[in-house]
Amino acid sequence: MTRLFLAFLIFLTAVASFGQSAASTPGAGSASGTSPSGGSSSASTSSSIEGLFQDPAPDKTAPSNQRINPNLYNGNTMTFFENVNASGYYVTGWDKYYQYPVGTPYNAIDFSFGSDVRVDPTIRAYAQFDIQYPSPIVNPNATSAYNPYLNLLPAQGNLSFSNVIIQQMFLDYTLYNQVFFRLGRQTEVWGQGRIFNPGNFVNDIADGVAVKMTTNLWGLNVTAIGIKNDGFYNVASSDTASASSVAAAAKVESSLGPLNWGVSGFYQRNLGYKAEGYVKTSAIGSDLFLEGVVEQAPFQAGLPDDWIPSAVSGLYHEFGDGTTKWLKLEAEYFFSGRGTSESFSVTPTQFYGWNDQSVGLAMTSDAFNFMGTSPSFSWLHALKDGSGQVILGITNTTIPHVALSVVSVYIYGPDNGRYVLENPDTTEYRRLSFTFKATFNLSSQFTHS
Amino acid sequence: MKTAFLIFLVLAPGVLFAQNSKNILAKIDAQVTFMNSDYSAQVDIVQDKPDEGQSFTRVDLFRRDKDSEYLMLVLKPDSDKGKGYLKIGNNLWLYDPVAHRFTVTSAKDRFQNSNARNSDFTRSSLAEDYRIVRSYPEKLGVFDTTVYELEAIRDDVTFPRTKLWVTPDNLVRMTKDYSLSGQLLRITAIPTYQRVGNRYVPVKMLIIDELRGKMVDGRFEHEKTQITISKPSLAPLPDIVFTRTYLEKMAP
Repeated sequence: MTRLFLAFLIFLTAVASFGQSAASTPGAGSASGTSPSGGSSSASTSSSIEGLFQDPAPDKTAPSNQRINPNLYNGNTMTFFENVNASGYYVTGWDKYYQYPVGTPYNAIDFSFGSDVRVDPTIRAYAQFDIQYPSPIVNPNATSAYNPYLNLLPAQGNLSFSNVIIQQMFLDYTLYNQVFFRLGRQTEVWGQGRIFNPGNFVNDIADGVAVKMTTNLWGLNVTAIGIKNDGFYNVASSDTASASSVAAAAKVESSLGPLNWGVSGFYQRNLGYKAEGYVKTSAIGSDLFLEGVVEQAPFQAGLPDDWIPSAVSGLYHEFGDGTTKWLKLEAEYFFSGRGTSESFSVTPTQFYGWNDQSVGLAMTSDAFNFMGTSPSFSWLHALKDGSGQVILGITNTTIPHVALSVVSVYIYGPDNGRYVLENPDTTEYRRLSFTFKATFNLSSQFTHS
Repeated sequence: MKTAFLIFLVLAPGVLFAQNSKNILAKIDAQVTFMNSDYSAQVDIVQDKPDEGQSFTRVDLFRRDKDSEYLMLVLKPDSDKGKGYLKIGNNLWLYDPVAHRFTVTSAKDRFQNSNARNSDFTRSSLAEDYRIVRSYPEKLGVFDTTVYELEAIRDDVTFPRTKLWVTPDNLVRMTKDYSLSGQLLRITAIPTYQRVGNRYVPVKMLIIDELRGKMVDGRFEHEKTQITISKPSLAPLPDIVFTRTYLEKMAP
């Protein structure tokens, strides 16, 4: 009996605790603007908000004949565009051995122009051409998984205007709103790393021609690409017409719960096989990823025939929850079994062990956007040889059509260290340098529809 | 037997209340959710920062609520044209047309640096994310409303505590979002709705950021965002819209 009485008391208490239930109507009356914990918002905010409810427009029925068209480009549109950058800059600093300062003036001009023609929702033609001074030196070996900053400065050994460079020239076609094709010269980035990106199997696409197909099958995003780039793949002149000179790559991506995952593969007769897999997720406001890559060169008698692993993991986080991200940070760790064969245009035959590890850090900030100023910082460090590269840059765009930059580059480590050998200053190989740069820009476009 | 009866007596009110709470929130969700059709609209966002002026963003919004998918394609300003947000499964992807890259982002994040959150444009999921801890009637201008104080039941919601002013037609007219400690973070006002089919869409939303602003002439002016929704439609959308392929195709 006592227990029953106790139970009744507990029941009453429980009911009372839920007394202010969802269904209850008695006024428990908290004033508008009072927080659940009792704090209050500013009086001006409350009054301005409440004013909206004094005489609001009545609810209405939306017109039934209006809708947006998911095919943005559903008629004949032709856009012509051009962009001119004229830069003058001066690099000063100390040479490789810190024996004497070296100053070098540079100037460069880049004129790009093109057209974007969309005839109907299914088809589009796009072309972008470029004329550069100084003429760029085509060096496919400069595409390295270790260093995204190899082409920081223009090569000054070729002081002439380039011929017209075809940056992009492709035709898009969408078949029955299901399969998307892009045919021609195009840009594409695979791989998850923003600093170290060994999974970018298609990095040679930018100076080749390619056929890309993308579709969505049963929740899987599927992309297949065929790339023709004989220079990059070292295709013999006698083989250029053969189908086997073409590289084939495919990628499948999807989501599983909070995880995004993807696998990709690549084959080219002279480069061999490459395969990649990654998982990526977002946790505590950060992007996190882990990616593994294996490669195997074509079999060559008398040489090792190893599968070569690489892996990269990274974190990207934006600090600041407001309209301004005061710090955007990318941190990555990279392991490579490739030894010194760093170029994507060569697949080594031998696995060089597990000690080649690198770390990288890149940061930018929006905190000074109100001054038209954006600082950036990057640090790359090879753990195996102690070499590294530190870049600090500040760019100001306050003056219309003008970008002013100051960049400091510091290279450290032994003479045979990775980042010393890969000094982005390919003319003077300065270990410590300061660059002052002014770029004048004009961009315009004209659309006819 | 007695123990079981005791447990029942103790737990029953809680269970009943939880169920009631869920039902109320589900009714509120249902008014602005499109489970039987696709939904598309044009969304104009005017961000007003004290002393810095206004900025304008226009996006096309496509939703397929039954699959919890949505896509937002930025049309203006020109500098952001072609950027897109695509929700597939539990993940929200942000496409950068310049870098040709997709990155994972969070629905909690601010949309295009405005005071709106990505979650403001998606399917309402109050019943899945919150429970009611308190309710009472209150007059809001000309509206008779019931105020519901909500507490998050999941860790991944945008705001851990929130308060809704709901009219008898189950439409939310005002929300106040709070941090876990009870700090008011922002206020959203939706004075007028437009009916689309048998569901509702706001005509305008005004969001006032309680944390951000500046002193202007000796008074603290808050950052404000006004969202205008036009051309709402329930017409079916092609499947390709909810794919990464679509964003690549639409990129300038």
